[in-house]
Amino acid sequence: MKASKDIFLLGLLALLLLIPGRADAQDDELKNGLMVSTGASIPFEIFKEKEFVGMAGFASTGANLQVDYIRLFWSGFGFSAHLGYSMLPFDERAYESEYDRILGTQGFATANVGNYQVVEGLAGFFFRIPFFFKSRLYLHWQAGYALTIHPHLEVVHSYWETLNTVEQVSDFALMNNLGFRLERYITEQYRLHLYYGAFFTLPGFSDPPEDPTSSVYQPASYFNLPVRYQSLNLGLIYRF
Amino acid sequence: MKGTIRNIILLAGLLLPAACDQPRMNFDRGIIPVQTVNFDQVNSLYDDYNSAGVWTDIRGSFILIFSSNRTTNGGEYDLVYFEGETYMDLVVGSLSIFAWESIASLGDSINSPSNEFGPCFNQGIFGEYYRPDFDYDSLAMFFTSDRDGSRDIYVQEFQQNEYEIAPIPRGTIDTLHGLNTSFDDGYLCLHPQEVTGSEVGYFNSNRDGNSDIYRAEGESGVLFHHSENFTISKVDVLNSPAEDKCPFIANDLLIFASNREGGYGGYDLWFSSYDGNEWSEPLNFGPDINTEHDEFRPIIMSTDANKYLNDLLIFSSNRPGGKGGYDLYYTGMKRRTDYR
Repeated sequence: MKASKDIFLLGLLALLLLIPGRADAQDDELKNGLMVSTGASIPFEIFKEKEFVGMAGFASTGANLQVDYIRLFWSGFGFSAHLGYSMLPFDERAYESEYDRILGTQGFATANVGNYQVVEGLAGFFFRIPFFFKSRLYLHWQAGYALTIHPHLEVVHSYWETLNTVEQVSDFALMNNLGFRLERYITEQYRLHLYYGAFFTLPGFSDPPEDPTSSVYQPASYFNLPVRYQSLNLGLIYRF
Repeated sequence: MKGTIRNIILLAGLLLPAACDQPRMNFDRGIIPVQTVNFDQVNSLYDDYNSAGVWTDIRGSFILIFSSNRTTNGGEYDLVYFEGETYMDLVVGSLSIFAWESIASLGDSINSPSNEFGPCFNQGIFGEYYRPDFDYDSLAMFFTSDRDGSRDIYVQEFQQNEYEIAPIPRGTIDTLHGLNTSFDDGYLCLHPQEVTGSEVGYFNSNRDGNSDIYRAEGESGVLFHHSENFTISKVDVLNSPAEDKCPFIANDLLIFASNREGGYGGYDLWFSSYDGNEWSEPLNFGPDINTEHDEFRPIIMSTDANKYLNDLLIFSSNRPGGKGGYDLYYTGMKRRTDYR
């Protein structure tokens, strides 16, 4: 329910930002743009780490879908809004290997984990850099919120039985994005673009102990996950 | 205006580095590594064996008391007292054990110019952490000593210490007259709740020639160490024609040392489980624990099931690679229910 509310708020914010502004007669380009793109989501740093160190995420390369609105204020500078969905698989095999490495040869671990999912709602600025004929290079910085969903996780060992469980849980956290966009003219209104962006967020998730009513000391029931991934997308821009 | 300020704060927050760093636990509960480790923090160049370990509170601290001839440079054996802590890293699955010799020694009131062996508490100790379900007035430690000639079983009562983990000795040392004989008797360990209304203990004695394991039932309604008369019987299923000694019981698992046939050489560690009526045929712990050298006096420190998936087994061995003489070793072992 909380997730639905968060998505609705993000959608509303995006709609507000999509109201077009007045065209500037001095600029030879159309002021507004709507971009749709899809591509790969590639985890990096600790989020892709596949060993039991620190805050390793065990994330693998996944896919994403992004919708962006851009508006040029004056030459070379503009405003952008972003709505995106990214899905990154949890590397079950690597996770199992870590358990087997630590627990030795006695038995084997079986991990059953879903995918990380992130819904991004961002807004920010971009700078346009003339690149070459019929192409433009843009530098983007955006900030906002992301709804990150940690997948249900269960690891069962043939000798030790259940080793670890985390219920599917979500958290709404601040997000930063820094990216580059290469835009290529097709027509005055339609253009292709290649986008590279790095996304950063740090959600917190609950992982309560098996018996939360027990007075016996138990490990922390909360953890943070540095969700850091890059998106490499190809898309279409409609300028108006 | 209010919204603008909020947005500025939000933007400022985005520029701040993240400060939270609580990682995901990859283990719901700890697993004590199932590999034999020399307990080098407590071992010396001399013999160190016959341990008794007790968890003292809910956060993984413990006391360890054992026999050593370190203070006499290889002469008589005294009880040496250590305190320690365990830390289980549930992110990487590693266990750390720290131990240090304590100034407040339990052994000071017990040690004599003769030998002291085989300490064993009759219940848990919880230090300064008060537990309403715990009877602090009946805490006692059994031990074995040859101060009166042959080895006999003695008892020292303790009382709760409000300031330290180590309990305070109460009263004088008593001998269990109803158990002891002119032969060697020792290594008494209680088996709680075996019988309703009275306490039952197991010990070893050579009163029949070689060392065997005996069962003793105290008087009804009387603490074991306050009983004058005991019903004593040899437990045939546990014994062999060889030497069977050092019984220790955790829940319904009895572990002991024996040089019987079927082992890996010298004294090996064996276990037997209690099904509510009788003990099972003893089984060898296997080559992961036993060697061609001697393994002695095993004890189990039963862990909290909410924190660990297995228990801690401590024993002594004179295998090569130690600090000298007998050393204490520890390893993880499955809970006793897994042995049935």
